[in-house]
Amino acid sequence: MFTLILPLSLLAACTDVTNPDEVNAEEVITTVALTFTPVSGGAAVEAAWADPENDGSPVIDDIVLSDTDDYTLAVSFLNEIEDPAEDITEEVNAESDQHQVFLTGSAVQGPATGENASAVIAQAYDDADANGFPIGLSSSVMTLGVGSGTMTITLRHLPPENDTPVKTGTLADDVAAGGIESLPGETDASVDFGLEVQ
Amino acid sequence: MRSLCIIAALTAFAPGALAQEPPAAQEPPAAQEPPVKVPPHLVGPVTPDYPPEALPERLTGRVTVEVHIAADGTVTDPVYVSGGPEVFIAPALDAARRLGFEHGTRNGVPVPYHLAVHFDFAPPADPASSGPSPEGNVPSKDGVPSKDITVYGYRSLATSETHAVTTIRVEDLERSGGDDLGETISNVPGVAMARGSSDSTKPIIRGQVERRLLVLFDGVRHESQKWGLDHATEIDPFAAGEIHVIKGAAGVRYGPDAIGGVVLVEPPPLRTDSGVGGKAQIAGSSNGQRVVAAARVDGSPVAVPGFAWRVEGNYARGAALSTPTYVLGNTGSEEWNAGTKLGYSRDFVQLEASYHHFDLRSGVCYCVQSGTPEEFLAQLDADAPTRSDIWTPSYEIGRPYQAVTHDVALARSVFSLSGGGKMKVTYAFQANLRQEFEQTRASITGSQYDFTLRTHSLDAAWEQAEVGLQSGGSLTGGVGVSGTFQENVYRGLPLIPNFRSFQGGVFGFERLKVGPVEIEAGARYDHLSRTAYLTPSAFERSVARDTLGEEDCEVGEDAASCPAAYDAASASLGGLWHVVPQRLEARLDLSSATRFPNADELYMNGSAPTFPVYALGDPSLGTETTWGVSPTLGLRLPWIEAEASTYLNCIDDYVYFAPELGEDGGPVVDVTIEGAFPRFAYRPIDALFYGVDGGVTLGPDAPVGLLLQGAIVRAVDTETQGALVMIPPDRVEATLKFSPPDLGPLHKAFAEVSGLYVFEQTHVDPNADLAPPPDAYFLLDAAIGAELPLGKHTLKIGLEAHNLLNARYRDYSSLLRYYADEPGRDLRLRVGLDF
Repeated sequence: MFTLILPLSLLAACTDVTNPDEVNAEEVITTVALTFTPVSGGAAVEAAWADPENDGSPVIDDIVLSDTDDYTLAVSFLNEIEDPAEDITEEVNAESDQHQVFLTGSAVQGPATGENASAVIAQAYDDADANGFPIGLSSSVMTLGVGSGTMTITLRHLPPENDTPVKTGTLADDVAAGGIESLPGETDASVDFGLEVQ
Repeated sequence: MRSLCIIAALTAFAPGALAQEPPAAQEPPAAQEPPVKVPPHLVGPVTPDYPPEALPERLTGRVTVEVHIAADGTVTDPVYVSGGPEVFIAPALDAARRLGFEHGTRNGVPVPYHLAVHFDFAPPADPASSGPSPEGNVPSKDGVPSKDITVYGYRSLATSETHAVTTIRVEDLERSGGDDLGETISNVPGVAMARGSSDSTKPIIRGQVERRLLVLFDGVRHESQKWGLDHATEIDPFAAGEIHVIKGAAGVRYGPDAIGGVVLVEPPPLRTDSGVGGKAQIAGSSNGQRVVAAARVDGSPVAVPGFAWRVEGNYARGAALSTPTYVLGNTGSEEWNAGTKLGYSRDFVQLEASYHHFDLRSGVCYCVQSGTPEEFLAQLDADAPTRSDIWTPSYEIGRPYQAVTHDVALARSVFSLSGGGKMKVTYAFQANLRQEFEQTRASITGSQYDFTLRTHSLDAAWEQAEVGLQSGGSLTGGVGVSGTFQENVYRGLPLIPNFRSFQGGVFGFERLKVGPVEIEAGARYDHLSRTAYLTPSAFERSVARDTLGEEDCEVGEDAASCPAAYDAASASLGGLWHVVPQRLEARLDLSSATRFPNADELYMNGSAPTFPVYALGDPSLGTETTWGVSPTLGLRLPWIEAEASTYLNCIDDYVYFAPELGEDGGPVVDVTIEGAFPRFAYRPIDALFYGVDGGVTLGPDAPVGLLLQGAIVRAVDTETQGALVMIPPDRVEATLKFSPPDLGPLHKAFAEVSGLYVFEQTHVDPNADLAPPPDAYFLLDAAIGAELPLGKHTLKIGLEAHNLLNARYRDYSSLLRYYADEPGRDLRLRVGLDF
């Protein structure tokens, strides 16, 4: 006698449909936070580009610096979906040979911009990875005079391809010559700030 | 004597088969009501005589004949139905007259029957090249060796279809040795293939992409995340015995998704004579150094007549593909498939159960980057992707990559009913698991996009036996119901929601045959009820973007549940006119079909992983309805065969994925932390698709033959007159084939050269596309092959060259065109053994 065997084991009901999970949220960067610490001491200037709900409605602080001072700039990346917020900066720092931060925009003159007559600040990398290549989590910022413009902070992820590193020591020059789009890797964050020097 | 297969005709199916004990042979089932019917039983095999005049050219072919079996079991009035070449028709009719049957009965009373019978012809000393039971020569009484006869209850689909249909036979499937479904059917006129981001493709039929196509594997609708441009169809190419490509809306018979066309992937029939046989193939490709090995074993034990089994599997591993000038970094792939099928066929019952597993791990080209629009445009202008100099043709598959599995299990019963009709019931379960892994920081493990789609389906269909009319014509038809329960679980970066859906449908069709004219009319109704479950944060994102209102969903603690229901009606009217029987036929198809919106079209909300856009669904989308007309003309003469088909499809509320334009006419931009992306939205438009496709074969059975074929598709938004994006450009193809008579021990030797010219797509809408169309291209292919009989076995050898001139080109309908060239020259050697 022939009996047809249904794959009963496959019929098991699944209850996870009605309980959707927000997973992989740990990969998201919601916030780019900048801390300008005056060289002469005093209160730091803080500014953030924050989209804590990751819904495309960011709150963007303007940056106001004083022409009478110079600064050290610390860039940090946060995931504010997590509670408490996760500091992605540590992961970037741990993988510093695969990441680099670039500062560009009308307000900036630095390794990634080349000569810029309209610049109101001059940036220089203040840190380096194990290969001696800049990371950009820490920079020195010198004010160049009163004025305003935009500053773009780009975090580039530069994972190796076919086991060959793609981060080199000349990437900032490449950006100055051909823009961010001339870089290998992928953009993890790219945000614009308004910057004014008073 | 083996070559006799009694398949569906002498068996039949009923839903009761699952619960009911099949009765013993000759004993009618008692539970059936009204009258119990036992179809005729074939007594002793018959081999058709291979005509001597076909010997010089070693022709092969299949002829289908319809026979009338009188109440006493004798065969009268065999009528040619289809197939050829012509030289085989007379021997097939002769053989049909010699068929002997034990008469069929109705309530124990002998009654007459109609059956369709297939006869396969192959020259002497030439083992079967296809079919369920590959085997050695079968000498017939008069000493002229001949080949297997197959008796089927169904007529070949292609002969009765009112659509334009192309069938890919097993010989051609063997030649495609391991290509995926999209590549395999891309030679069909009117079909194009779209390459995704890896070593995989998707089919496009008459300009319609996969969400408007239906792929059926062994009669089961393939359910997957088919909306993704880089989500290849999860079908094992080696599991197919024949593939039918139906062009045009065929929603009545196959369901609401079939508004652009249907691809029927049919496994070869199970073995019906006792013994064990099978086939094995290995193939290697130069481009990507791909190696593939496949085997299938069929058996039927002597001890259990009517029982048959199959085990099959294959494995393929490929390194990264190369264009003529650079390597497509990280496009290595690894695929394996395994399947088994059991069948039992006795008297009026046929039972089948099968299981298939598909497993693919496929690297996504490093060149495909979800960068900002500026980065995207910059790489478009580059001659080669940046860093392509460091990419190597490695077998290693690194991030980004896709890992996909598809499992399908089915159980089917077919029962004969009184009156000669039959009932077919199929239950299938499918699980589609798709994981996509992005390049991430090292601290992050696991996949970033994880989709699980589970589908249960139950289909029941009753096919009516042919009924003679007093006026001389005859009627056939059928009705059916289908039900589907589906669950989608998505875990990952914001993209699509979970959902649960129920879909039910009912359909019926009737065919009238009067003289040389056949007319078929059908109708179908489907209902879909689907609830999407969004995370609270995803719901808020949708509300923030105005795609969902607070009142659209019931917001709970864990999820917002958003219900939706749709109805769809389909109807078709088709005609088939044998203007000059066997010579000239005309077909006309008038169809209307309605498709339900997919969950991604309604609720998508996120950055597409392989496309630099922000994609936004529209929950207010309704069904889309196509109205189509397609006349087809076929000509068959000894020296020329031709088919041409033209079509016009109006699609109301066609769901179109295109840039959203603001009130000022400029593109809408979504700002995310990764940059600003143009917003692409699904929106309903009224679309018009029209075109023509077809081909001519000069000398189809001659030693030198020439095949010419081509296709033109146009698709416009009827309101703006703008061309739709990604529609395959015009193409023409010419193939010159030499099929010499036997070369020493070699049979079926052939050599062919083929040229494909694809025009530049000039019908474009610059506002709806991210890049201008690529240039026209020309591809030259060549192939040689032959078969070598080794006793009862056959060795098959072939060498194929694709893109022999190593042309650099990009294809307008492929996602890859935005990032890199298509692969360059590929030489492929295959060796197969039928045993």
